Amino acid sequence: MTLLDRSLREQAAAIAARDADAGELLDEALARIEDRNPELNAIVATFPEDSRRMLDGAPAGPLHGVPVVVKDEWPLPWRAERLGTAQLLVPTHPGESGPYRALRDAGAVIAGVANMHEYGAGSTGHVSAYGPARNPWDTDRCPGGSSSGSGAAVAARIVAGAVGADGVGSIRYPAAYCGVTGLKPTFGRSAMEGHHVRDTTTIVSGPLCPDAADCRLLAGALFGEPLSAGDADGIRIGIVPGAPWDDCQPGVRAACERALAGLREATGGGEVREVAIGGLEHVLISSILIGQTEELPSLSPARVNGLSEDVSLIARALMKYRLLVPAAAVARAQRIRNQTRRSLAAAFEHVDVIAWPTVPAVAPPLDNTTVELPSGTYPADYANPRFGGLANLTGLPAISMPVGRDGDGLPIGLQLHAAWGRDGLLLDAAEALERATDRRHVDAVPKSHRTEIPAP
Amino acid sequence: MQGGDGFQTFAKTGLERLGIEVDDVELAVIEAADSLYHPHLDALLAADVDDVEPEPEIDLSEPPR
Repeated sequence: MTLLDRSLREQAAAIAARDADAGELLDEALARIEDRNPELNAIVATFPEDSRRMLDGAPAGPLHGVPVVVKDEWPLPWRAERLGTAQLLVPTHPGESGPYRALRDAGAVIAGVANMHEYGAGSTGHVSAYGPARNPWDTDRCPGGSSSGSGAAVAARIVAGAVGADGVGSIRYPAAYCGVTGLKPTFGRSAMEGHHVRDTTTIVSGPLCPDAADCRLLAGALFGEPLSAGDADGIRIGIVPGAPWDDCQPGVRAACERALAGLREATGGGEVREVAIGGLEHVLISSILIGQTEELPSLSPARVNGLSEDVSLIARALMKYRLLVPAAAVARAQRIRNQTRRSLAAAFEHVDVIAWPTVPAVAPPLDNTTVELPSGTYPADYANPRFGGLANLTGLPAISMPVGRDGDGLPIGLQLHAAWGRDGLLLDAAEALERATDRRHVDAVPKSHRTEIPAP
Repeated sequence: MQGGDGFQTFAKTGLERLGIEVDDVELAVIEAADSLYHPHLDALLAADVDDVEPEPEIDLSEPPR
């Protein structure tokens, strides 16, 4: 194991104490991209000179000298974002995005750009102009999306931190599929300047890291304020009966139930209570409608007709499908948003977190992205937003943490939601669960990506 | 939107009215997507939301006022 295999906070501490050289760590990260990326396709661009320039000017911040990667959804001063597509609807330009500034000001070094699902419009990561990113646990499987390369890069320990974006679960799905921890912050709390959807009400930037403490460190940079660690003792857990639990693969449900029992025990046996969320049955369609229509200002006939066959068939077709959505449905989706937010505010008077699996099934194969659930077989892109859309629709923070693996060794993620602004509580709860499980899920690394040190 | 045999005609006509070109393969994909989502759209359009108070000047970083 080398310093690059260790946590973000250990890397930062070693550099701050002058026990490690940041230049050497960056060189190691770039070498590891060359070594591990060919089979994963997690990283789509490196720029060693710009990375070294960033390091040369790095202030003594909390991430001083630590290499991270950023999803292809954010402009950098030396590279415009490509959104994982061969053809942008609106031209993009290099520039200082909010996440770039946040990382720079924290002293971090951007070592590369991470792959993403084309236009951010998918939960699997198997469609990208760069080719699909691959899951380090099984390279024939999807890494999740749309922050596909971010999840894969962290799982393969190419870096210990990645900045993703989450519009309808796009940080949490790859976190679950790849066995890492991903935080979707409270809406508006993390740096967003420069995002191509300028008036979004659903998308946020957020961290994907091996564990919750690293997410806390990276989220602090993105928030522009440190997130202090707290105490999850006595945490009250809310369970929503019905589909979020019943319509999952049995192994996913069992692992998440075990994790909740472990969390409860680790936090002093706090109360578990059933909660009802008004409008929940309409959250899937409402979150998709609101999220997808935020990009409609870019969909002029000329632009849509100008899409070439280099853009995937599914993306071209779904863009056109969006234009057929009745305005009344979007207006009603806004009312569902209002209803759900009020219902959640009432629920959070009685519970601290609301839990259900991050996704109902483990990562599907790249060549068949359907998932088999008790209620039937569905495209993962249809099944996953039922579980991920609530946080984006309402603005809540949510976290996905690894809680086990299925019989094929594929990771399983548990999702917790908390009330607005209680991002820290989610990290506290995740850390409590990590302690309760002796960190065996967060420290697990795919066998082919473990760094073996030769015996002397 | 509507399911059933007339869907592709509906989609093609609707997109053409918007000046959007669409081919048969794209129409088939659109229809497949609609077969999944139109039950949810129908349910949403039928939902009783008359009594749900809107949130003027909604702030998604905070609980509803």
